[in-house]
Amino acid sequence: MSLPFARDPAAAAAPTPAAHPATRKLALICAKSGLDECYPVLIMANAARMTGMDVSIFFTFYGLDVVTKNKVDKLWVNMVGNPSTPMPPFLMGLPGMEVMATSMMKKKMAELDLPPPHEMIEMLAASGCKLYGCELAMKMFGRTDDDLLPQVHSVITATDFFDMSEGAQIVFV
Amino acid sequence: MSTNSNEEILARLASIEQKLDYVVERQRWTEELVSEMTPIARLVMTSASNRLADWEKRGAFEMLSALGDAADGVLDNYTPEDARELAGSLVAILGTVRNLTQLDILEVANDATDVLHHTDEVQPVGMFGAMRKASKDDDVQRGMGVALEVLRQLGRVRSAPSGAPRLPPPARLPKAAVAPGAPAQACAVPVPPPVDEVVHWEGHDFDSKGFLLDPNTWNRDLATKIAAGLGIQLTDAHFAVIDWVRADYAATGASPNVRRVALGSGAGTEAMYQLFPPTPGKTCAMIAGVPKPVGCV
Repeated sequence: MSLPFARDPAAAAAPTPAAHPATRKLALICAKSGLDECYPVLIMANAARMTGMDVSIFFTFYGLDVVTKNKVDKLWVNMVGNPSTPMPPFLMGLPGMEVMATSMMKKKMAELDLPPPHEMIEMLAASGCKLYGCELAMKMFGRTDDDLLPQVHSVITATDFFDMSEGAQIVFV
Repeated sequence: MSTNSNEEILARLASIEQKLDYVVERQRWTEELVSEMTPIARLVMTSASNRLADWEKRGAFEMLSALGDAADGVLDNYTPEDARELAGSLVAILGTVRNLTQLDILEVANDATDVLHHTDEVQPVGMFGAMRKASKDDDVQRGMGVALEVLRQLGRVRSAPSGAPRLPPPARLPKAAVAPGAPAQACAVPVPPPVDEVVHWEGHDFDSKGFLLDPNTWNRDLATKIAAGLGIQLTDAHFAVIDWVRADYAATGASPNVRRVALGSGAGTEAMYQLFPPTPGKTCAMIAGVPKPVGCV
């Protein structure tokens, strides 16, 4: 059993931060904009980053809302079609249900001291996680770079993303 | 009869004269009392006989005889064992009665009877009407809250094992102590990880992952040595964060996660990754000599 810092002196002689190349890479694809659908992406990305992994997230289709300035603070929980809802599904389409579900989830998240998506995005960008927008989705929704949060690294195509993610574990959420 | 005996009789009479006076006086009192009481007694007797006649008219005596029959029935059908069992349950009955007659319960019952007087002109309500009322009317919502709470407590009591004493639900565990003003821990469970193996290094005990077992044995010299082993040259910026982490651990008893350190120490998330690469939470805790932080942010 050896401690991570109890190395032999020769190896520890010239250690630099560059001596920690990320050995694992994670590429997450976020394609949905529900509050309950984007949180897993953001939390997993943050956890992976804290574990020392190299992380990038590709926001495509409605997932683009998560990095859009005037949408990121208004993400809803979609209860329709969710089999885990505590109420009968036919009631879930009634007006106001998503507002109620969203406020409940936000309250729960605040209790657990999980930051809202906007702050999670800022945290991820500060931690060195790369955030990308999907070019096709940008065209489809008629958005420009100015509509996106400043934390977004760049807008790229899917092929660019897969080129960049060589050797990464790719997870579609 | 001799003079001697006459004198004796006179002496005796003299001695009882007082008592005779008293007896005469009492006789007079008694006569007065009877003369005063007679009309009253007559009134009472009249009234009582009237009352008895009235009871008889209304069948009271028939009922009494019927009650006597009932008592016979009870005696025929129940044994002394039954009576003893009844005595046993009497305590429970009395307890129930006592609970029912508490002031607040009586007030609720009183309220309920009052409320029922107001329900004469209520229109029938369908399912959608119920939902509309439930979503708009504060009173309906409060009432539903009360009803649900009552049902919940009832369910809790009924679902308790029959033999087990029905105690009130245990109080919730208090949250981990957090310094006032500091952000709460995310998913923080201040449970020390199981110690699988103790490793000795530089005169200190570590767990197999490299976290100091006893945070109190930490010193700056050890921190510098651990950091050097991880390829980090400690600076004042590092120590500012480390000191905050140690102070926070001492205050809360839980290792702070990256977000808490970044916000609390004022370093910021980006600086945390630069100061303690590549795993800011683990590396920082390792150098600061506190347990591995728990949580996902």
